[in-house]
Amino acid sequence: MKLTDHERRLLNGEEGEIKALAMSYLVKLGNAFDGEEMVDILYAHMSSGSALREGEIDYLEELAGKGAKVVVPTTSEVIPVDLLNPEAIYAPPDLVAEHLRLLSIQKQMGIVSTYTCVPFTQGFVPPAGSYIASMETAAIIYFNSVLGAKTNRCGYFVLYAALAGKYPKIGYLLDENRKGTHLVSVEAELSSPTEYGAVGFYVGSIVGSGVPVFKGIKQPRQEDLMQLGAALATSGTVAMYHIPGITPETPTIEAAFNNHSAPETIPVTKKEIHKTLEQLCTAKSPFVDFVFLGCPQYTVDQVRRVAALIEGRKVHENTALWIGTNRMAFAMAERMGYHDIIKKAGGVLVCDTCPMLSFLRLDALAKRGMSGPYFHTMLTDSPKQAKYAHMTMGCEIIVDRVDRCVEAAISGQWEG
Amino acid sequence: MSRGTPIQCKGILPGKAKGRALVLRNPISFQGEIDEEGNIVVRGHAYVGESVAGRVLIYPEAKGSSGGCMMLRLLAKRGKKPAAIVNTRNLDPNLVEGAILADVPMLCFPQSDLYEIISTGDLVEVDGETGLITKLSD
Repeated sequence: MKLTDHERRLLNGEEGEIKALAMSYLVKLGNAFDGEEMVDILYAHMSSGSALREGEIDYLEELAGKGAKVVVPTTSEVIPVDLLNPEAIYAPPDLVAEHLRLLSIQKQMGIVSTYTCVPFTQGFVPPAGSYIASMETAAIIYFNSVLGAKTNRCGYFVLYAALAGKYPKIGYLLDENRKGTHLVSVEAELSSPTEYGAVGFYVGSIVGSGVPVFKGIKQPRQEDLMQLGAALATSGTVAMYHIPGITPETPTIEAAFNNHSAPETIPVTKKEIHKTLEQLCTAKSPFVDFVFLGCPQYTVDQVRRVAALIEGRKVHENTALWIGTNRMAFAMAERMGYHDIIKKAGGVLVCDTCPMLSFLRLDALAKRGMSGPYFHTMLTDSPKQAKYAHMTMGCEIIVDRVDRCVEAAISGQWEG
Repeated sequence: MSRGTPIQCKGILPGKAKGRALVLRNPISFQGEIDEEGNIVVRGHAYVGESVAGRVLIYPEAKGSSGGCMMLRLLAKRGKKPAAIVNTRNLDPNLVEGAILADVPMLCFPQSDLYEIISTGDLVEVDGETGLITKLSD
């Protein structure tokens, strides 16, 4: 790997041991992928570190103690608890305390404690063509596809990228890896984010780590594309897709395939959409004790929509309704009265966390001597949450669009 | 090609390892599909309950959430990491990050069909520097 003089100085420790450590890991990564050079990154979205995984917060504290500071704008991923209203979801106080410790470590390191999976809804919108380093598959695919920024499917190394301001030019940072591999024809009207999610889940299971190119999608909303991407990255390893005419890198189908002829078309009709949602459904009973909305974290407008659906009504006594969002959307929901409406109805507007990564995971419960599942049947509007919650929380699952989820939260029963 | 004949792969991360093969025909995720003790926890999976600890893990490619990298690091801390990882179809940066942190040798892109040659339980040797994988015994 060819390094600039400055990069060599970083690696040799001339700017401190932390940057040398970060560079040494980044060089190893670059070499593994035959990277030829490093690039400067403009932004990083990193894993926060979770008290549920041994040693992670301690490791950050150790780095912070040595003076580690990020050198690019850096946001951070969801954590296992809500630090704003922990008691509303019965978050264990000791876990809350651990993550308050994390918060102060992050402050010390210059990391913005967004605790979000969708930082691009909160002002972190890297321009098309910029190099960034992001973890969180739902964010990665949005950055690459919808914004046209360039990131790999990064993991823990975002931390080192943020400390050095560098990343090896490999994978999706190289233009030749961003071209289409599969052509998908959507032959159905998609009327909800959940249906976009179903399309993503179906296509992801076929294309694996490919770059699907969609035709037949007309004027999707931001929330639709958040679902589409999250699902593509859940059933597959998709980090990038194109919708010619809509996403920025490809004006036409021909351009998406680099003017090579498009491969055989994968059709998606109502049939595949219904079948995908049906296959995600594992519940034998229509009674739901948990309705979760907000994977990926809801935007302000999605919170508004739930408030409108639930205003003046009451969540069923046997059912918990959580709406996952982030602090910035929460602040706006407070100002606009959406939070009040949801709270009065018995719902909880949750920040910072996400069920499948939370203290409600079976492994987290087991550590507290509790046997799970905490909730038996989860109804959600998100195929991503459905798949992971089934695995990590042991919930039986139903997936349906938001208005039907809200109705079920009120009646305690899904009208399938 | 069988016992003793090395198969050339691309060496991704250096290091030598020896262990019993665990051969999976489908992608697997270290986040959610393998637990913190290193056991496969996918319901209905052919190897559900099987541990990846000390095994030479052979499978097509990584999939799923980017938390997988941190899980591999945790497995290393707990002494439950695989001895080596061989991905046959694709190389996922997130998994490579995990393997760097966990110090697990890694190979990719074998020049022969490993699934024809190596079965679960075979004793194999891996060299991440040269990219060679060798079946030592059944």
